[in-house]
Amino acid sequence: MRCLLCQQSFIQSLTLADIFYFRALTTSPICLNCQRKFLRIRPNLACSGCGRLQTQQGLCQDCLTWQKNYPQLLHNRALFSYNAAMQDFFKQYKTSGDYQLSTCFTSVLGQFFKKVSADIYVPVPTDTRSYQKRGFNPVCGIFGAVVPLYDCLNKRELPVKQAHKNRGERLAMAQPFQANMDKCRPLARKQIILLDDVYTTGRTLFHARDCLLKAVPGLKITTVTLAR
Amino acid sequence: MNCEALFGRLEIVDQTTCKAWRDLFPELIVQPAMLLTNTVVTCQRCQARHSKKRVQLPSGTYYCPTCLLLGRVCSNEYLVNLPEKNCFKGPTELTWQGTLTPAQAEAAEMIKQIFKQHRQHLLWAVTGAGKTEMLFPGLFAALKQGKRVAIASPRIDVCLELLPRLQQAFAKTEIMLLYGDQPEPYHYTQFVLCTTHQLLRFYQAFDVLVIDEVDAFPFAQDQQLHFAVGQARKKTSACLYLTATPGPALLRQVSKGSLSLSYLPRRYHGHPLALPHCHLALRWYQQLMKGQLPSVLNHLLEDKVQRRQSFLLFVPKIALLEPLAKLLGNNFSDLKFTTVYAADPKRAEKVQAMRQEKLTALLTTTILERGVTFKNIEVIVLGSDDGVFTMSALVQMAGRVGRHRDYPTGRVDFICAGYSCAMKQASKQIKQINKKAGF
Repeated sequence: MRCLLCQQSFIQSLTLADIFYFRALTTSPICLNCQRKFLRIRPNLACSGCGRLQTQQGLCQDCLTWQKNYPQLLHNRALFSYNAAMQDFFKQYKTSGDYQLSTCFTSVLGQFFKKVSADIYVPVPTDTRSYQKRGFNPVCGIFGAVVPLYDCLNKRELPVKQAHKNRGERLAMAQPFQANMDKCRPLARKQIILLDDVYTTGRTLFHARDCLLKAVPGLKITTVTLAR
Repeated sequence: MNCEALFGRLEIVDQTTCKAWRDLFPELIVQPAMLLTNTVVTCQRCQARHSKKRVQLPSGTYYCPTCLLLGRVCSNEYLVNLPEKNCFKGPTELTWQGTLTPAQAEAAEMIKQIFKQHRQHLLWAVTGAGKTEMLFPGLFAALKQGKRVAIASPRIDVCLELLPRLQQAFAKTEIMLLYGDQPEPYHYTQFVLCTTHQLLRFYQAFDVLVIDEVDAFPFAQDQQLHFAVGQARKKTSACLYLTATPGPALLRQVSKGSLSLSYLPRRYHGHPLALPHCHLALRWYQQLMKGQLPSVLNHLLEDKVQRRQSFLLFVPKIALLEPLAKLLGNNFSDLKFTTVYAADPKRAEKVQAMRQEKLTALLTTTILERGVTFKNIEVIVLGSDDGVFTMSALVQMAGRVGRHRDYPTGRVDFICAGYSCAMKQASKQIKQINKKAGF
């Protein structure tokens, strides 16, 4: 097989369990060398608010700041640290638009969602113009093969993309999401996980959660992102 | 939109832009970006075929992952360009000061004729023959006639090294350098220097196309790039392939008659190529992994250190660099050396330090096999029987030695656990060329 990220050919190593158990084979489309470059975040060393990798336990500085405005924090869980390898991945996946890469983390996410589950999974949406330009929603691409997704949010178009703003500008962003009321009705009293690709400042996810809470008060919402 | 930027240059546009441009430029050549059949899509830019299922986007369109780095091609888009008009202004002048040896001058005159007669030609010139300089008269004549000229190489290092030399020789002509990470946006110039991948973005643009180091990875193995060359040339145009080690595919074209061939077997300083010495070290790999220096290598290194001779040590894998560097550091404490590999962030600086003789040795992989010149250098290839060292790679590595007029000789040593076919062919080819040159 050829690794999707580095284009080198590699051999998929099978374990005895893979051969003898009667189950679907979960193969990774990226080679071991590339897999090692991604830094996995263990839950015991992550900030309990945003899920970032840190040395001590408890809340990080950013989350303490958030707490002043939002007493109820997100409890985000992130799988990987947003390091150079992850930046390259997102550059190729989102900016260049290489949709094939959406399968890179399917097996890791599959294992993750065996432990962390909810009734309904809601992806953070993209606006129509980005969708048309890119041809896909990056969040749905990553999580779509792993868990059933439920679309109930819409995003209005922003004049400047999030990625092109600095931290201050990102934090000052107004609510971009709207809840689709018809679709939100069946959500009442359900356990919900909001899904996004990267947690950068947390602004997007806080907005998305607020939007859902406003539509259906009293929802139990946690969030999961691929990277932090 | 500036119409000049579309001359011979493929742009990807969506339907609305395509319509707007067609009204603006009636001559616009439009083709759909991808061809669809029942199960397969074919990218019209790079001709790669993919199964529909693999490359479908959720929005329903298809895209081409093969040439993604040049900008994504989607099936609902169009490839457009304007026919090349050759509108160039400004003076052309050859500001090169050097002189050619008689053999070089003869080859240069021939190149001039090839460009003039729009022929396809393969120039087999030994490593260190002074290929670039021989191009100057021909290029100058072509530029003066208002022809559009491109030099392409599979290696970005080669392009980066060529640029200052070309700029010096044609100081009045603007040269556009194109490669993957080029921050400067494209604009229309008469002279283009680019990597072979960038040729995919041109359509019948060039009257003269020179491909340097044709045998280098990835050009030799990649059908897509051969297609790119055919697309980027005008229908009547000259195409010159330059190499020191033509592969079997090129030689087959020569014997079929679709390509003419000429040799330049003698280096510009008139000395023969260094013949490699082969040394057998059956367990060099195991010894290295155990932390011992193979005795053959140890002898060679001692000799070089004693003579204060700078050298390149090639290894087949990046993973070998670190243990080898550790051993060398322990055994030869006063040897100034470093390691360099393809993804090394300080690669350019290290090579520069070696050129300025701040270092005595470089431990490296095949990345430095071609396109680089050091003044006084010898070469050791460790594990020369490894699969990555093809015949052309070995000849090129041996060709690093003796390129300078003041240091025309030097040793080349191959250390191997067995005698590979590539090694045999490499030795044979070097002998053959020396014989042709009259040694």
